[in-house]
Amino acid sequence: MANAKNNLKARHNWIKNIVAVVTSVFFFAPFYIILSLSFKVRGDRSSHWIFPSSPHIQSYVVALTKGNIGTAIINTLIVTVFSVVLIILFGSIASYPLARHRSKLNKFILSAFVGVMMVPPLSVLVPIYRLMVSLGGINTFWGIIILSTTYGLPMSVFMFSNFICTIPKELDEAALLDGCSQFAIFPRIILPNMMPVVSSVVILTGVSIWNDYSFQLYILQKPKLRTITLAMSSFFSEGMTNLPAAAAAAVMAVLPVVVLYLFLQKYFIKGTVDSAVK
Amino acid sequence: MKKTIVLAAILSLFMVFSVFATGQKEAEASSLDGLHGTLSVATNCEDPTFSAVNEIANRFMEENPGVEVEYVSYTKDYENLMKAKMAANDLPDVFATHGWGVKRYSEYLMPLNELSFAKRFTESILNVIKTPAGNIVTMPVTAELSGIIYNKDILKKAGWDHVPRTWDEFLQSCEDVKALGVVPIYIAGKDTRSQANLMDVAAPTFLTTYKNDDQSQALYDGTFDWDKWSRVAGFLKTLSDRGFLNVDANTADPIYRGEKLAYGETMYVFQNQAQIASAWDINPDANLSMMPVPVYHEEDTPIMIGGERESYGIWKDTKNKELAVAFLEFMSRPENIKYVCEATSMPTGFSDVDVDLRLSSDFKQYENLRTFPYFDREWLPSGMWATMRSTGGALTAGEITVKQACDLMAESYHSLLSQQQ
Amino acid sequence: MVEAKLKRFSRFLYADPRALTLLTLPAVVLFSVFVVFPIISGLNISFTNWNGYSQSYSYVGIQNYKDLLFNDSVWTAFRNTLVYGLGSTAVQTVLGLGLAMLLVDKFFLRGVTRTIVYIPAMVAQLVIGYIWYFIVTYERGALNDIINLFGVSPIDWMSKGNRAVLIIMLINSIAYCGKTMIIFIAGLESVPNMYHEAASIDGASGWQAFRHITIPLLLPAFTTSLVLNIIGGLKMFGLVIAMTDGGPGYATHSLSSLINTMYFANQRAGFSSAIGIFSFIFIMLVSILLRRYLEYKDQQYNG
Repeated sequence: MANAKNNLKARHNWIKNIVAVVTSVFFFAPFYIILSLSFKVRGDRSSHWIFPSSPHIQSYVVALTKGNIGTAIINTLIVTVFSVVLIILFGSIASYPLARHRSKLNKFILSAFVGVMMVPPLSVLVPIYRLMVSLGGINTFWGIIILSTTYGLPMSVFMFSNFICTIPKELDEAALLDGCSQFAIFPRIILPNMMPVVSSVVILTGVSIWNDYSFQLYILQKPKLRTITLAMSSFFSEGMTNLPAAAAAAVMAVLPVVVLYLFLQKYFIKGTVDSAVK
Repeated sequence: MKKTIVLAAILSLFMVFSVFATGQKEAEASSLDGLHGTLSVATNCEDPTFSAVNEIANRFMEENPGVEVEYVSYTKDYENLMKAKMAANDLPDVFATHGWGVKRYSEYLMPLNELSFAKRFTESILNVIKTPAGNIVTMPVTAELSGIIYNKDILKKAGWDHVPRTWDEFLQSCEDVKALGVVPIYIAGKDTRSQANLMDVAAPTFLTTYKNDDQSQALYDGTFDWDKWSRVAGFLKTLSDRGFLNVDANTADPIYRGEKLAYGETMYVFQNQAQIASAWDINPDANLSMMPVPVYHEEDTPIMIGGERESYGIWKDTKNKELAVAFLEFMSRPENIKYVCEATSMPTGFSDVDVDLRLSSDFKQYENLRTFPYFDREWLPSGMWATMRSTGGALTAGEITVKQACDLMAESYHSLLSQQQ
Repeated sequence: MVEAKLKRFSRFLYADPRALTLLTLPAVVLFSVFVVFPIISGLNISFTNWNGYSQSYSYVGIQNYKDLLFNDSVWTAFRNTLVYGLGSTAVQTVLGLGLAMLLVDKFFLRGVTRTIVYIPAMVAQLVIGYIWYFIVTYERGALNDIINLFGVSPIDWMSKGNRAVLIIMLINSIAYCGKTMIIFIAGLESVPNMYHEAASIDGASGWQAFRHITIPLLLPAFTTSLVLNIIGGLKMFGLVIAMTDGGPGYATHSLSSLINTMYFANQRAGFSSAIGIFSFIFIMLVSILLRRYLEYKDQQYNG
C-alpha cells in the first residue's frame, strides 16, 4: 500500500519535472536571446536563436570600459543600500502605531500612504525637480536617497502593517502589564518576529530602487554619479549601433539582483506568507 | 536586532551627510589666476559627434591644466531633462541647442555677438542662430546641408539618369524601385521621428518655398488654414498606401536603418549626412549620396534643407562665464572645427573653414540651390514636433485619416501659439 | 506648574496610545515634503497653459480639464491603463496560480524553476521591453523565426494599436507573473494541510477540493495580487516606452507615459498636470476601495 503510494508519487514527480523543464525553457528564452546577443560581434545578422559558434567577450569589455558599468554598480549599491535601510527603519516604526491603534488620524495616514503607493511618480516629476534644486539635492547621493526612500516607504508600510496585524495583540498587553513602556513593545515584541517580512521588503523595494530610471536620471546628472540603469540605457539610445554591448550591459545589470534573490530566497516566501496572504 | 537597526540608521545618516559635505566642497572651486574650475557641458549627440567634441574638450583641458570639462550626453533624455532644468533655472554652463537656440532656449542663453567667432559665420547659418532682436545665441560647430539620402546604384538600375525633380517624379521612381524588389523608402517608425522627419523635410516645398503659394505669413500669425496640411500628411499617407515603405515601417527600430542603407536594401532615407557616415561604417562601398528635396509646384525649383547641427550656447546665469567663453573660443579655432566636421562627415557653418568630405563633390552641384530650414524649426511653434511625430506615426499605421491628422496639428498649433502670448 | 505639565507629558508618552503616532513622524515628514507638496504644485500648474519650461505662463481656469474630457488620447490611455492593470491581473492569476500549484510541493527541479520564473520580475521594465522587442519585431524577430518554421509568413506584431496593447499586456503578465506566483505559493503554504486531508476523507474529488477549499482560502492572495497588479498597470511606463514609445499615434500609451509625453514632448505641462490630477483622483477611488478591504480584514481578525 505504502509502496504503491510512493510509486504514484514518483510518477507524479516525473511529470512535474517535465512540466518544470518546459516552463523553465519558456521563461528563460528571453534571457537566452540577450545572452547569445551579448556574445555576438557587431553586425552579426544571424537569427536571435542561434548562439554564436565562437563567443566574443569584446562586448563586455566595451560595456565595462566605455559604459563604466563598474562605477555604476557601486553607485547603485550606495543608493539602494541606504534607501532600503531607511525604508525599513522608517517604515517599520511607522507601521506599528498604524496597525495597532486604529484612531481616525492613523487610519487617514495609512490610507494616504497606500494611495501614494499608486501615484505614478512621473506625474509630479517637475515639481519634485524644482524642489530638489532649491534644496541643493541635485547631483548628490542624499537627494536621490531621500526620494527613493519616500517613494519606497508606502510599499513597506503596507506590508509591515499587514504583518503586525497578524501578531496577537495580547502579547502587547501582557508586556504593558509587565511595566514595559509602549515604545519598548515594538523593539521587544514585534521586531524579533520580523525577519522574513523584512527580507520581502528588502527584495521588493531594493529591486525597484535598483531598477529605477526617472528619479536617478533627473537627480544624478554627473557621469561620475551614473547608476546602472542610466549607464545601461545609454547603450540602448537611438543611435544605438552596438547591440551586443547593450546586451552585455543589460546582463551585467541583472546579475546583482539575481544574486540578492538567491541569498534571500529562503526568507522571501515566508515573508510573503506573513505580509501578503493572511 | 534593535542595536543593528540603530547602528545602521546612524551609519546611513552619517554617510548621507558626508556625501552632502563633499558635494559642497566640490562646488566651492573658484577661479584663481589663469583658468581654473569645472565646466559642465551637456549635449544630446551620439557617436561619432560625441567622441569628436570630447576630443576637443580633452585638448582644451590639456591647454588649461586647471580646468575640468565635464562633457556629457543625455541622448534621448536630453530634451526632457533640459526642460526640467529650464523650469528650475538650473542649466549646464554650456549646452547643445540642437536647432532650438532661438525658439526654445533663447530665454536662457547669453548673446555671443561680442565674441571673436561671431563674425565668421556664413550668411545662411546666421539666419537661423540670430534672435529677432539680433542676438547670436549659439555657436554651430557643424552645420547641416541635407536633402534625401539615396542609393545611386539602385536609382540607375531602376532606369533613372537623374534624381527626381518633382514629387510626381519621386513617386514614379518609387514605383520603379519597388518593381526591382527593393524597399523604396525605409522608415524606422518605432521611433516616430522617422515619419516626422520625412514630413519636416518635405513640408517646405508643399507650403512655403513657391513664391506664388507661400504660406509663411499665415503660419507665423496664426491664420494658416490647416486643411492645407493635407498636402503633407496626404503625401505620407500615399507613400504608405502605395506600399513604398518597408513592411515594418511602424515598428522598425532605427538600429536597422544603417544596415539597410549599407547593404543596398533600400533606396531613400529621410535623414541627414550622419546616417550616411554610419552606413559607410558598416559597408564603405555603399554608393550613397544626398539629393535635393523635390518640389510640389511644377514651376518651383528643388531645395536643400540647412541649419545648425551640433551647436553650443552659454547659459546666461552661469557662474563660470569666463570658462564657458574660453571653451567656445577654443572650440571655434579652425583646426578644431575642421576636426569635428570631418570626423562626423558634416559641413560647417564657418565661412573660413575648409572641410574635406567624401560627399563634397556631390554637394558642389547643389551650391546654387536655395536652402531652407527644417519646417518645424522655422514655421511652427516649439512643441509641434511631438504632434508631427504622433500624427505621422498614426498615419502610417492607418490609425487616423489625413483629415484627422490636419485637425490634430491645428489643435496643437493653436494651443502652443496661445502659450506664447 | 511646569512640573505637572512635564509629568502629564511623560504619562502621555508612556501610556497613551495616541503618542505612538509620533513614530510615523519621519515617514509623514518625507511624505509631506516630497509627495504632498509636489502634488499641490501640480494642481496649481493644471490651471495654467504653462509649456513646462518658460518662466512665464498664464492661468486658464478649468480649460485643461474641459480639454481632457474631449481628448481621445486621454481616454485611450485610460482604457489602456485598465487593460494593462486588469488584463495583467487576469492573466497573471491564471498563470501564477498554475505555476504555484506546480511549484509548491517539493520535487527535484522545484528550486531552479522557481528562480527562473522569478528572475524576470526583478528586471527593469525598460530592459524587459528591449529584450522582448527582439522577440516580437518584424525583421529577424525571434517569434517570426519560429512561425516561419511552420511556413507562416512573418507578421509585424506591434503595428496595430489594439493588438500592440494586448501584446504589451501579455508581455507584462509573463515577465512579472513570478511575483504573483510567489504570493500564491505563500497562500498555498499557509493553507493548513488538515483541510485537504479532511476533504479527502470525506471523499471529495481533487477538483472539488480545489474549488471549495483552496480557492476560498486563497482569497487574500487574490486580493493582494489584484492590488499589486493595478498599481503595476497605473505605473506602466518603461515597458510602453521600450516597446512602442506610445505609438502608433497615441494608441498604446498608459496614463503614466501619456503624462510624460504631454508634459515634455508636447510641451503642454498644464494639460499634462490635469491628466495627473485626474489619475490621482481615480487612484484615490481605487485606494478607498482598498481601505474598505483592509478594514474588513481588520474586523475579521479583531471581531
